[in-house]
Amino acid sequence: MEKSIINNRRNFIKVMGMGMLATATASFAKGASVSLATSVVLSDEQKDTLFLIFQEEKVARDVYVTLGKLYPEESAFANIQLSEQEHILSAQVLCERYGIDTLSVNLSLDDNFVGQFELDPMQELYNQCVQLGQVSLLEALKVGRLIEVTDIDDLEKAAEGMPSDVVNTYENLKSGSLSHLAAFETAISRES
Amino acid sequence: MTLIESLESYYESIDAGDLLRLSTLMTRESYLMSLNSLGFKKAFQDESFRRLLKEMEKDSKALLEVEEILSLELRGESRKYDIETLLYESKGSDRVTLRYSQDENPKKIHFSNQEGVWKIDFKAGRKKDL
Repeated sequence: MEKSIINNRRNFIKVMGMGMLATATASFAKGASVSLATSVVLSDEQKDTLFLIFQEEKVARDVYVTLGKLYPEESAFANIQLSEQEHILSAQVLCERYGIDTLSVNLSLDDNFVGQFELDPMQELYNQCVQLGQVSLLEALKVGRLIEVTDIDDLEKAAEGMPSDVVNTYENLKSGSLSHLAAFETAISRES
Repeated sequence: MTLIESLESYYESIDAGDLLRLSTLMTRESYLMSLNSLGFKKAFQDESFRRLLKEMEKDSKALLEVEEILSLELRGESRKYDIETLLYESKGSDRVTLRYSQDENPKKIHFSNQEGVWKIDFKAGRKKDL
């Protein structure tokens, strides 16, 4: 029964992910002309930063997917992993707008791919988060809190010197992270 | 040093907690990124270490402290990896990706050419415009 609920939730996320991808692609199609009209050109370093942030967003999502399976009674992980999927797509749209190919990053929610990272520091981060979160629900929530604090710092740093559309997207991602942080704080207070 | 030797040296340095050697293999930004990920667990458990990680980019004393603490931590772990290199992929005139397997999982490591020397550069995974 419990397994069935988890599977249903995972299928829901997969469907949501596909739906959001379609929406994001459509939004991108509309927004592309704006980006071209403003003739914004990013430096190689800025493009590299966009691509890295996009890849980093997967770490948070995959940690929450894994911890959500470990603690299915805790709704914070299920809710926030959905939001993280949106964060990934926002970062992906931004990459595509600036001609950065994102196809090399496997975003599948299949069990074989969640928690798999081709870059070593991201794999290391995921492994450490999951290892710490396995101790107890309270520790898992604290891991979530630290991930969000780290994400906010990374986004603030990445936004420096970027054009307004990138800054706006990163500001939106930061708002999301602040809201995740508040959700984890609430859950931690409840569990402590 | 060849790219494959750099890759091997990267894992050997982490195994041995030899962060000085690790720092010579990578761009500064990638090195700091490595320290951040290797130090996540310690930062989770220790508020003062978390502050050091945050300050290390601009404060050389904080960086030194992070390196000393992490080096000890890494030496206390017994990390062993089974690495098998697979193929090279050019990402432009000054960047290369090396595909390899680590314990049978597919991995990538990116290199960029910094003044004639190939350095591990985690940000160099994007194919550069020609």
